[in-house]
Amino acid sequence: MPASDPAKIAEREEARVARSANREQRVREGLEELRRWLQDIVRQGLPSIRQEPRRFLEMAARMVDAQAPGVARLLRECSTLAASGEEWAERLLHQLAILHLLIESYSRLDSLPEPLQADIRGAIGWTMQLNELNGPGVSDRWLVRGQRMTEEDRLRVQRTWLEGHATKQSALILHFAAGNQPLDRTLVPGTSFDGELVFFPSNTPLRAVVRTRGETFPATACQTLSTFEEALNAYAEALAQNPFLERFPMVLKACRMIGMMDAPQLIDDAGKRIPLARSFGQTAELFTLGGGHPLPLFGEWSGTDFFPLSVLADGRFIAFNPHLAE
Amino acid sequence: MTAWQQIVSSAIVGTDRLLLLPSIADPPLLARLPEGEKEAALLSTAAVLSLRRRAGWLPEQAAAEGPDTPAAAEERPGVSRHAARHLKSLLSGEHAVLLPEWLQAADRAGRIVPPELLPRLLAHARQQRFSMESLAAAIGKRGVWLIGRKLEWRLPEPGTDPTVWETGETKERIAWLAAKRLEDPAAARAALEKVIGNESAAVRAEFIGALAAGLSAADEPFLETTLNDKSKEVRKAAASLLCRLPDSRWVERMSGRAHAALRYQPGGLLRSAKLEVLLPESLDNAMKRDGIDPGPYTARKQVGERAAILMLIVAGVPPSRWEQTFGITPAAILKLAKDHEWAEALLSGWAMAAIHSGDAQWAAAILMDENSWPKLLVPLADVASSVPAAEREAFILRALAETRGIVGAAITAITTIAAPTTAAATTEQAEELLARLHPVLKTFDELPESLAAGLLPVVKKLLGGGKPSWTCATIVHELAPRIPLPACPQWIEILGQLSEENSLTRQIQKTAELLVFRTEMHRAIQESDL
Repeated sequence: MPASDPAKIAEREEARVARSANREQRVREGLEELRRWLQDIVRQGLPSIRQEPRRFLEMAARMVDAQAPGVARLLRECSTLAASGEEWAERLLHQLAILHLLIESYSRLDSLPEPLQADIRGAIGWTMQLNELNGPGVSDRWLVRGQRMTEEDRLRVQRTWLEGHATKQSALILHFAAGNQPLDRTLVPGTSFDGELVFFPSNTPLRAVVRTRGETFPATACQTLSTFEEALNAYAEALAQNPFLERFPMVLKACRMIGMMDAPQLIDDAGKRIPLARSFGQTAELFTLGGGHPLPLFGEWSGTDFFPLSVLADGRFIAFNPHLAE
Repeated sequence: MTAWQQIVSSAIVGTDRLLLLPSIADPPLLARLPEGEKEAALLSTAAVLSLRRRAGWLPEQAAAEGPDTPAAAEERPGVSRHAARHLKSLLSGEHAVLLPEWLQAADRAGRIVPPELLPRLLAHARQQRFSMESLAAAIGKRGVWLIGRKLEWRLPEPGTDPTVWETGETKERIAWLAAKRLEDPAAARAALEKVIGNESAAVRAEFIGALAAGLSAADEPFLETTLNDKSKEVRKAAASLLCRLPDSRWVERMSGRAHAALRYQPGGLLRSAKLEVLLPESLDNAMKRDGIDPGPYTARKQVGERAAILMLIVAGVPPSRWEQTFGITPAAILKLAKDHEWAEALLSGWAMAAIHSGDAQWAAAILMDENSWPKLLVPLADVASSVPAAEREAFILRALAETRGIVGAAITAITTIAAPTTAAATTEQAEELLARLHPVLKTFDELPESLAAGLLPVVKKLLGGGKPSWTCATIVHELAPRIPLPACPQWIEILGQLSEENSLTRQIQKTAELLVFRTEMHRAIQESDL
């Protein structure tokens, strides 16, 4: 079938538009249902749902049917948050409030600026086709800073963080694999490559795809180190631009671990305590790598805690095991 | 209560019962909140407040807690990346038996473990009870620093802190006593004498056992008095030390009993030399006081009570005394016992005596006759440890030559007479002999090259052919870490050939893989990263 047949093209375009309108409709209905459901929860009080975390999973399944997988993921996370110990109510309420905010924003999507629209649609679960990414690329020497693997409803997600040598820009490359499918292994932490990235439209552009890739080199030193407070300021600015931002890269200078190995504290060079993610499984390794000396540390900030992904120790680039995460 | 706390409280109680809507300091934000149901208002307010909290969160100043001295700079370079990868596999359980060898090789190469592997290594070493010595050099300054940062890894320093002896747990007190013995044996003994009356029998026995460190004739008077203890276990513990003091009254008493039991009749023209044995009548009170306890041997039905008493009496006499008494060599004495009615008791007694007095000559004489091994009621490896490595090597080589002979005969039998039953029997004999040699072979940290070379043809024959020996495959796998490195390539090649068309393919391949890993691991330790 010749792709240039104008009739066929028009036909296919028509079908695409219809499918897309159909999805918008299903998402809208799904989110309306979720809105009422959320209101029920706060009417009854959070402890009632805490006793039945299954309800989160049921609602998540409903959101998958409504073609809003991003919302489904946030709901699944709720069931974990509800059982997360002290301050569970604070964490759960935050997540429910963000869901509420998402519903509200989607209902007024057209009134919002375009990049924020993209962030909202992304949070709900629309994925952009690569051929829609036709914006200008960013060329640089990209350092692969670190990697982390998570599992979301039988789907393995690999997050790879890059950092541009000249542009100082951070970028997040996502790879997905279902079941036993292999994940992309070509971006190796501790290496860098010359190439062009294209960023997804966003108020806080981070997610990108690699458009072209040249030669690979060993890691180059990056100069964009900041103190914890500087990094938190950058996070605050980004959050103001995009309230749905979940993880923010931080390259911290001179981090040090103090205390005993079983209960160490991570501090920056100003002596500020950096809360470590509880799911980080390699505290002992990080503790030993530093040996009480300050080290540059890269990781993800979740809004409440820090998850280390790589460290530079004695001139060696050391990436933490992405599989141990979560 | 902050605005956020008010919102959280409302969410917990439920808007049906409570709604505290705080006034938000930022009027434009509040103005944008949608009107309508209070649930929506709560959620909208929560979203604004929570995001504001996250954006405005400030880290706190860390409170100074615990030690804060950084690790000293390393004097040795780290191992190569390749070698670090090997260590990582060893720590994750792959070929884990090679871990001590890796550490030793790294130490010899003057290199240290990379810091990120130290937590796992130290946790593993603690679990496996590695000695600190084998670790100390390879873990570098960082390792020492880390040990100081984990309470459970800190080593107790017995001997230096007397409160451990006074108030510690039994295990700690034993460690203290053993350490104190090495430092000042008399003071340690005096400390024990002071408290021994207050302890339970089991603890008394363990404390006396701890005197093994730094044992000398000066301990004899104290040990002799502990023979009056009403507990059998305590008396046995004292006896186990007294038997190592040749001038003790205890050894004299044993000698008296033994010489009454054994009579040597030299051979003459018409008769061959003979060893007459008068079995002790029964266990009398004096014997009980001296800690003689046939119980464990008769309970396992290994030997009758009177024979067991004979064995324990013989075990209490330094074996060299028999040479003086009888005027013949150890080998000649052992020959007398060989087909004796009480061979088991006599050979075992002498083997025990050789171990107690560390008599290498006697131990070697016992080991030289592998036919006597099955009669021994003591572990062969214990006997072997009393013999210098070179002599161990010699008699094992002799035994291996014999094994080869047996297997050779079996193969001849198969090919010429086609008598599978006979062949199987002789292969079994060879297998049995190898199994008997095994504990002795294991006493070598590294097999001498001649021994490894001697073992190879035996292995080839036992693992080749239609019916490979499972026992042999298992033994070879256990011995693989002891095969000298230069011999590894040849072993790998031969095991590779043997594993083809063999019912034990997997087992043999595993051994070959272990040897390949060993070879590579040593090569990697010598490498340097660019």
